Amino acid sequence: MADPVSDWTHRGGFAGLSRRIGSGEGLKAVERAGLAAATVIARRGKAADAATALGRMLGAPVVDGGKRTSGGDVTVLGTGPGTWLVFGDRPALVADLTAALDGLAAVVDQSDANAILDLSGPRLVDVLEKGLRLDLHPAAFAADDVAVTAIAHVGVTLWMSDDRATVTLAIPRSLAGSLLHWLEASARPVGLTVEAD
Amino acid sequence: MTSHRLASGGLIDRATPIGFSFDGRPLTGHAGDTLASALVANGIRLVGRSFKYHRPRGIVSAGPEEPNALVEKGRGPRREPNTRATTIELHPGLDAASQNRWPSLAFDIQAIAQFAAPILGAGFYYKTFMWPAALWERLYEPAIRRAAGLGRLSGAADPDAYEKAHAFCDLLVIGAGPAGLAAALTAGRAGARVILVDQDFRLGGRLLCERVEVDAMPGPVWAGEVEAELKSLSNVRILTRTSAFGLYDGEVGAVERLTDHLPVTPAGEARQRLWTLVPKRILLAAGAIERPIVFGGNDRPGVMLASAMRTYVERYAALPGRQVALFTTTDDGWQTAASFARAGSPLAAIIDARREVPEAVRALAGDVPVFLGARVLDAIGGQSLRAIDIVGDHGRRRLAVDGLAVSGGFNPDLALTTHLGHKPVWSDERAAFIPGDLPANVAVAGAAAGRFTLAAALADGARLGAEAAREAGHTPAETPAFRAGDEPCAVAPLFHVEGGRGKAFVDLQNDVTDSDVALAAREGFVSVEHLKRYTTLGMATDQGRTSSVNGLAILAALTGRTIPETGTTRARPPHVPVAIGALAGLHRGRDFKPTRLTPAHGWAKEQGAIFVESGPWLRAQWFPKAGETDWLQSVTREVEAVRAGVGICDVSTLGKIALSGPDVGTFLDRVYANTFSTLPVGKVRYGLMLREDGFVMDDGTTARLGPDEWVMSTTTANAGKVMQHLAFCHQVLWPELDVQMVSVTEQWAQFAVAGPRSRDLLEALFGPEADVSDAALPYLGCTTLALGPTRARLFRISFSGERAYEIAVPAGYGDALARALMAAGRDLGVTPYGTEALAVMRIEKGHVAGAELNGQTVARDLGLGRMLSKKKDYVGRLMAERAALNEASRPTLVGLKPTVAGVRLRSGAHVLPLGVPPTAEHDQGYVTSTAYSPTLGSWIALALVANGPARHGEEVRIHDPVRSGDVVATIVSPVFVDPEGARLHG
Amino acid sequence: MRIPCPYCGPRDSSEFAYHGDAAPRRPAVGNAAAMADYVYLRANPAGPMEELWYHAQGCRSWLVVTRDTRDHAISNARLAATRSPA
Ligand SMILES: [Zn+2]
Repeated sequence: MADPVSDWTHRGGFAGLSRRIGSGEGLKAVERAGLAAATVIARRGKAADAATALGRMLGAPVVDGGKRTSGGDVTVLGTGPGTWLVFGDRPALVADLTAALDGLAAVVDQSDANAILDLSGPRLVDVLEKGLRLDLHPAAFAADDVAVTAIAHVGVTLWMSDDRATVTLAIPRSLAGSLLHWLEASARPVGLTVEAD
Repeated sequence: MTSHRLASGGLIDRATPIGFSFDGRPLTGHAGDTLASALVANGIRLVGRSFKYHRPRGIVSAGPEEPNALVEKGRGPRREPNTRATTIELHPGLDAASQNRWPSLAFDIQAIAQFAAPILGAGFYYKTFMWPAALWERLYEPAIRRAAGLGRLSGAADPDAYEKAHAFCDLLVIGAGPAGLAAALTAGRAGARVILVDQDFRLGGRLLCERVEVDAMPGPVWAGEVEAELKSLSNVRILTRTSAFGLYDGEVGAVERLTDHLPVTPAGEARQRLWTLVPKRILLAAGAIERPIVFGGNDRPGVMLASAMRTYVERYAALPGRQVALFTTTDDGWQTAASFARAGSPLAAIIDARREVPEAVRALAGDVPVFLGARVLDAIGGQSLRAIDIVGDHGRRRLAVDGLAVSGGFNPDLALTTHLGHKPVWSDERAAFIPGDLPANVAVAGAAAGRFTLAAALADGARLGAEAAREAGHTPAETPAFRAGDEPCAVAPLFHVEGGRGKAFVDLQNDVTDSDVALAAREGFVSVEHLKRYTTLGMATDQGRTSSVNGLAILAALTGRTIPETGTTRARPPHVPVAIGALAGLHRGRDFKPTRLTPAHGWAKEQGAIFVESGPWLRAQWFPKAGETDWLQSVTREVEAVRAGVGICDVSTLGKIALSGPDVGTFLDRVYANTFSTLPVGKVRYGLMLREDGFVMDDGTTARLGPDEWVMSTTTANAGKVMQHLAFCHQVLWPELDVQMVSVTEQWAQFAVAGPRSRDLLEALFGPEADVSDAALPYLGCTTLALGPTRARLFRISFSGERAYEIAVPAGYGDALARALMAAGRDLGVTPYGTEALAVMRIEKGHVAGAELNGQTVARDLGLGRMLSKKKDYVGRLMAERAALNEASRPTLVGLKPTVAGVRLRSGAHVLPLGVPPTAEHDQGYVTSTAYSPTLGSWIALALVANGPARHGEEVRIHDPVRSGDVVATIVSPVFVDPEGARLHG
Repeated sequence: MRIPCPYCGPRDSSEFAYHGDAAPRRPAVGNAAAMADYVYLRANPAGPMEELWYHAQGCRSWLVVTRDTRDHAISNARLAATRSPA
């Protein structure tokens, strides 16, 4: 019989990819690991009811649209018609959602599917425009808007903090290295710090 | 001070001398110079040899329209050919070389070509090198390239980095001359988001080159004040050194030269940035380009556009000649006389084709000799202009000159407005093409619109800037009125002077003469588009900026038509040359597309895996062990280890789709060719998916883990395609079905555990509490089990034909799972195996994969015909039932075994009957997959062969002309190993 | 080109996958001739045309986009799932 297997280290998508480029000061990228996540897809004809149920869970109204709603430790992101990507800092997120949305939506665990980076720093916008084909100007992108789009061929779900100072990217974890390649090349002249989990 | 630099004036920084070299000769210029202006200031005339005839050529213009002064810039891998000296910003260490001459610029042997001119006329290549075609590659093309080449590529990889960016605005202003500045300022002050681009390194456009005043300030001063104000506005972005090169649907492409003007590229900086500008409105204020006049010897170095001469004098304080004459048919040309007079070098003569010139214009000349109603017939000289022959009311006479300024009118730079197919219209009044039908969000201002005076340009800009601001929801305080004069700008069109003795060039860059245009017309190429292709007029880096209208006008005259009857000039992007590197940006070499890594990639790397690209993924191909010298050795070991014991393989790359909802069963029945609605909980089923045309799209398994928990797997290659197809089926075909689905490929790390000892390994992994017995988990069963801190999904499925399982854990535990499997299987001799061993085993087992699911096979071809349900409708059913797709003669899956052991089979080889010539008519199919089977001790193959299943036992010829293979093989069943399936269960 | 996704707003066309003419509707069961037309026959109008586009790098919706094939002007885009059945 083999030795008992004891080391079940959980690794985030950016594990081992911390780095500092140049001054390190133009842009800071911090991995947000350990969040539970789920895709919520409303049953046929139940998008409004599912939004209401999500809103009840958060204590803040959720809409069927590309908007971010935060409530407590949970963030709900509209990612498609009748579809939300939900992040939560609680292990029971999927179970809680399944209970809250019984009969209204499918809840699929995606806790390990995404690698998440919080981007901030004085050159945030300058770096993002080198990859994003979206207008992040306040006139075009509200602080609670969510965008599902692509950067350098990598699919991203993007949202920002209320003060617009932090932009968060959730990407497929298998593409973490490729996203960093873009980030590093784009931020090199201004300096970049990546803090992986 | 260099020989032709004026003692004062200009916008150069006299305190900053800059050393550079041209053809190896060290020279000095100043900050603010272009390479061209520095050459002019150094008295250098001869800058290149022409494309076809190798005639000596000089600088013609002062901008991007330059057809002659193309140089190789830089050295080594950074050498860039065909760079226009007029747009190269002078910088320390700039190393430029003339092109297209051998052995030296002054003495070029190939200049002899001009004496062979009668045979080098229009269509020369088409006529001469037609036949025999075989000689093209070997003889004609290399010879032509050597003779004609426009500069040389370095042949080395581009060492620079490039980047791309997107920017959005209410108003994009292209061109920072008076109109553009007025527009940007008006819209910017109103609060609109403005992007202002200019190809120059300094804002101002013609304001920098003319003696004019705006708001009682000299042009450059006013431009400087506007620039300062624009820079203070956070809603305005200024991009200098940026060329807008194309108008696309709703977007403008532009390239910003970030470091080309620096002696050394700063580490980490991109050389150029490719902008995609997304504006609500576009204002084109790109100005106009002066039109030369076609006459004999008009290519002699020293013949220059009149406005360019003025630019060199006013902006760069460089004198293009000391004995300069002016040949004009415009009022504007006379401004050059005024410039030269102010510079203390009055013109030698003014030749105006018009008989009458307004008094105010005449006054610009001072007391220079003026010949009205006269023309320049010939320019005379070799490497430099010596004299001109003029003809007019006063008869013919020769004037000794060293320079000739030419002004034939102005061509508004409208190329961008024509990129989407819109046409400019000819205005007789302005002797120019002016905007006609324009794209919806495009407006044109100033000289680009054919409004050639400064006051008109400023007024246009202010009006259109205010309009754009209002449209974006901003209210301009008031439209500013900029004070400036309406200088005289009349033109009496003259395109061509006939009767000269020398060659008269229409297109200097392509060496197209008036006789070439005449020849084309005689031969029936009377459409402008045909003329262009037949003579190459208007092609290459200058895109016909100085030649197109003249060519058109000459063709019109030859064919007795007006210019509008003859055609218009329309352009295609890019308007300026764009480096391929800029278009590629970051995505070159290995980074052309992103690379996906599995959660256990690091573990595989530690094991020394050799990786292979599999779609976007990198997968372990095999794991070499110490002492193994060749891949086949490693792969054979891995296969034997699995077939005799147990192996593990990372299959995380397979597509995984979660499905939920009351109608999943119905939905799967419609997208799969076989039935799924009957799949019980705890079971897995193999499924075949067809395209609507009946051909096989993909295969995979779907498991039902719970009453409403389904998970489909797809092949690695088709994961995205299948997801898109399912979304299509759901959203477009059957939106009434209550189904929810989402990709979970990223959520799960998945390993295959295969071999007769695989269950033993699972028992060790999961521990005694878990029941993985055959009773609890029979073949095609599935379950979930606790594993460490998480839960694993366990599927009993097999690709290898052995007892096998696939185990999935959340991706964050993928690395840990690999290590845990290795630890749990240590005593069993667990062996990691890669895609190569995986492929060997599936070929041994006759399982189809990508090579057989190649888009040309139907289920029947693959021996899977029995999977097609007759009881239901599904995507592809009706088309798959077509008779032609069900004929026995179709290439159908078989196995092949060479008759002589040890002989290798290769994929792609053709299958032929024995004893016939290897020709297409005898072709009976082809080899799709091959492997060395350790189990059989022989190479084996899967192939698609006509009537295949009926021919087991027949010997056929396996012919591989590309790799000189020719072997005899026996057709056998595609299932080489364990056809009864005993190992699967035992 | 930017395509106005009804869910995401205007997006770069590179985010979308093109499918083609939205007019053909999958025929009812059993009609092989109609199925052949559905699979292979396409009109090729010069002018406004309803087309299917998939917002692959966005909300993953299939859209019916009305695009003028002469100048690429897009006059409408709606979710395919919400259009009336054939
Ligand atoms: Zn969308």
